[in-house]
Amino acid sequence: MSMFLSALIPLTALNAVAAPQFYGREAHALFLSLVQRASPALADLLHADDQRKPFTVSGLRPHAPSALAVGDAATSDAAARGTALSAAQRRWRSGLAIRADMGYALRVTSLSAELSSLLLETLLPHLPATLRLGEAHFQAGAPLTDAAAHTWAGQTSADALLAKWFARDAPISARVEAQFASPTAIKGRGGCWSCLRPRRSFRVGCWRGTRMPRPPSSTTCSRWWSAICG
Amino acid sequence: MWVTQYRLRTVALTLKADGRPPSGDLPRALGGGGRAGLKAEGAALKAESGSAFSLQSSAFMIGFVGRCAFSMFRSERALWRTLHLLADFAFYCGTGYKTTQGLGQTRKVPIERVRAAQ
Repeated sequence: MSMFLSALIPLTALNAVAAPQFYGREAHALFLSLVQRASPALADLLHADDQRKPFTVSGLRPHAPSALAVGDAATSDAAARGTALSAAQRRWRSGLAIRADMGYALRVTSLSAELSSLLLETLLPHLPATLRLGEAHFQAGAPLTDAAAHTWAGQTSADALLAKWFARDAPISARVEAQFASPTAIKGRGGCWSCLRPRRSFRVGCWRGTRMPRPPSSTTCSRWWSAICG
Repeated sequence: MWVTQYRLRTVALTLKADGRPPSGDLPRALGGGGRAGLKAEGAALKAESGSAFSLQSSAFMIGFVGRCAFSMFRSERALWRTLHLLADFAFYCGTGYKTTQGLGQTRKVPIERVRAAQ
């Protein structure tokens, strides 16, 4: 089954860019160009239109090795208390103005063994000294791939997740909470985008593709999970 | 909902959000809907806190930032386990649309933090 990887690439800005931007598209292009350099065949596969994309790339996010963990915790605690997000937290999710010498980060995740292996063994250890996102230039730092190094980094596998949550003593509950740290939208009926709208109830449905198979019991879940992860 | 990365279809979910009103225009298609899907699947998704954000990008994009709770109304433990499995998976696959361009960065809130909030 697939190996999953989440890596954080610390960046130090080399120049300032005043206009706030999200840098999602730029980060996507940068990631594909890095993969192209490391493995043209895999990059062609990722470029294919009708291809499930086995990766995600974040927009540019602020990163100070000590401060980010505090900031993330503060965000979660604020969310846990149900309080509104601070102005600073709102700002970086909508777009960042780049300041020289400040710390930023990009997060990339991989859902395929082939891409995860390429990232861990070739791409991340041999990143170019400088990276460019639009008009912003950055010095790349040592990537973080371990959950112990950063809360947004980590590695696991489909097998490990299955074993973890279908273990007899797994700490399960009927309620799960998730933090959407960057703007989250779902492509809905008729190609419209849907998102959670404050003070409104609405349906999100008709997502394209085949119906999600339901696991009738733990004994068949392995097969169900294999169908999702490939 | 995290399997949308793989274009798998779930039945309808009813979403309800609390928070500050968003700035900018929202697509009209967001309105309407009902609760039929919620009962059909025995699950609900609710935004606990957060806001809608528009993005500075070449195209107008809007999304939700905040915290959501996914609750199962059925007592089948296999479904609960699956819910936790998918929530962990969301850390890697993201949620929803344009996850390759920065949207949908997701992580599960640790259970102890959830209990503390309750």
